[in-house]
Amino acid sequence: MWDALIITPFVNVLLFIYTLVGHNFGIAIILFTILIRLITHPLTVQQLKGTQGMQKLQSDARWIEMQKKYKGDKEKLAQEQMKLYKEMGINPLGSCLPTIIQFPIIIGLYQSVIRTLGTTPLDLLDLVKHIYPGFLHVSAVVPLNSHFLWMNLGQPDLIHFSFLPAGIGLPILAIIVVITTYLQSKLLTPPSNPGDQAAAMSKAMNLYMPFLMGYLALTLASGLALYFVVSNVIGIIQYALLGKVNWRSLLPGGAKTVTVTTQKAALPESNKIASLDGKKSPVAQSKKAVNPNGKKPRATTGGKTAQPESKRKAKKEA
Amino acid sequence: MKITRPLTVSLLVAVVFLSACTAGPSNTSWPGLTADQNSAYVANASYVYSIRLSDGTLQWKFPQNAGKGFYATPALTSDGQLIVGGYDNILYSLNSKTGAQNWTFTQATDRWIGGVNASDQTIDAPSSDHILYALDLKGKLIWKYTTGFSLWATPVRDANRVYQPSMDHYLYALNASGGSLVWKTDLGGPAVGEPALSSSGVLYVGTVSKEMLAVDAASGKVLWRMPTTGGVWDKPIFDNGTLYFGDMSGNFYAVDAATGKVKWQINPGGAIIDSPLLTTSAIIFGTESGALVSTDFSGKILWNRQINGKLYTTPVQAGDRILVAISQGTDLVVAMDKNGNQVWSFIPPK
Repeated sequence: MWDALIITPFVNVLLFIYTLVGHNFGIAIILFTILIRLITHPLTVQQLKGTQGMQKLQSDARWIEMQKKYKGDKEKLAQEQMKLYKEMGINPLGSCLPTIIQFPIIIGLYQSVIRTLGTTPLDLLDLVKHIYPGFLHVSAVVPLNSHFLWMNLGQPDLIHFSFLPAGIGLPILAIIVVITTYLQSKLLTPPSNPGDQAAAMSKAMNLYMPFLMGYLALTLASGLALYFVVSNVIGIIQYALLGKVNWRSLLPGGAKTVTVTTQKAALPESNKIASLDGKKSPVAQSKKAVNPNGKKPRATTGGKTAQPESKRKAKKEA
Repeated sequence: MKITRPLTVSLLVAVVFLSACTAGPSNTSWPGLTADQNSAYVANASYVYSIRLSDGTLQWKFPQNAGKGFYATPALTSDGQLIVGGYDNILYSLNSKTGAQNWTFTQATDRWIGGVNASDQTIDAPSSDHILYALDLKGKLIWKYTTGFSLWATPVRDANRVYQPSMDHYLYALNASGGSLVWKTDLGGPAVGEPALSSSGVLYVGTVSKEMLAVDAASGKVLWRMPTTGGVWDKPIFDNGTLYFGDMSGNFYAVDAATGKVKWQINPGGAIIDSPLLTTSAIIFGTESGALVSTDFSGKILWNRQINGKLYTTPVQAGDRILVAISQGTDLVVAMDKNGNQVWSFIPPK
């Protein structure tokens, strides 16, 4: 079922692109990744809208109030939350449903790249079985020309330079994977609220994931590493076009958190959430909301503000 | 920290998801099997095993610590060496009695997938690095020839030439003494199976793009092409003017070697990936669906045994035993009598 619906069509489209671009598998991987990202773009937009809706909801005074009020009564809390969802026109599944739909597509993309490489007998046997007989001819796509730039896409990438001792190489592509994964996670992470567990978790993930991906790029076929890089870069471009890239987070000390106050919730809607058109940066808007006097937000460590506890309490009370 | 658990879970999910797609040595190929009078030798995953033919017990394994992957069919030389290539790009010569390492050949830069052709004085070793290496029996390079793509097929040799099919769609004829090119012929598709060479000087070779071809060994001229329903991975077995081979669609063919006309064909179900075994009274072949099938020479099925696993490896006859190597099953090797009744099975030690 999975193979018939996802993998086989993906493998055939990938190979078809490969035949169109002069048997260059590197270009085929790049174009195929772009194609899949374009097809799933509406889902990405939906996901962003849903995420924004949830952010908007969670900074609403009524939401914060009901969390305190019905802390011990989960049933009542759920009822009140549903009322607020309806009132604000937010679908609670709005952000996760598109992600759930996209997930198998992304896995399929990843697996189809692996299958298509066919560098071992079982892989090739599997690949040949997946080729639609009327669509592609085996002799046109096997053997796959897996050379791209300096890489053999079927092997892990390691460049041996003359200035290095014999047997020691530089994993250039794995390094690019680490950098682009880090940039992507850094750029796409929105400013967070102090004490926000999810934000703290994603911050930790932002640190670990680049190394995990780098390790995989180091040990797996470089065709997959190329896919990682392309996917990361397209992800950044995609979010940038939607105005959702937090460029300031790249600057030293740029990863600030936003202090949540009830005042913020009371601000006009346009000042709190940027539109998807990206005309107003949500980061800038949020910072303005928190710091009406123009002072910079305070730097944070581990997702918590560096403000003294007493000051934060005083601010909340005010 | 409160975040530790969800973070750990997320990372584990990511690792499982991503590493699920990595190819370990156990799922990239199928066992290579050969035998002499007393022992069977099987290369599978991390080890090469020597199994006593009388009772199926382990005699030795190589290496002591798990290797990177062994799948190429081991080959025995006339002086008792067992030659087997690994996924670590190294070609090993082992003492077939003890499993001790004699020598290694380390000039290849990619995996050894195809088995070598060992004759009295030379070892023709095809590598995935596109190169056919001709070595003497001490592992010293005599010559090498570079083709256009990976070599997975075992070459065949006559008195003057070595014939090597390549995945680059060509069949190469090389001078046996110096490795110079005599001719090369476009087969129209990748060839991963060993060619059969008849005494009348005709080469028979199948391609993954669904054809069996007959090629004149002297000139390289294609004598006939026979379309098949599925891709051909295996070496056709030439016997008494007839070729026997299977294809990926599950068809098993008996073909007139002179004309390429099908004499008979059967389809017992499941892709046929490696060559059949011809005994004096029967043809025996395995299928991907785990069926071990025996037919007579007119295509009538004599018996059909279902084995737990996939059969990608050519059955091997050793004395009165038929040895079958199994992929993705519990047993690695099963020994049967001529009627397909199991005599013993070998499960690799943990």
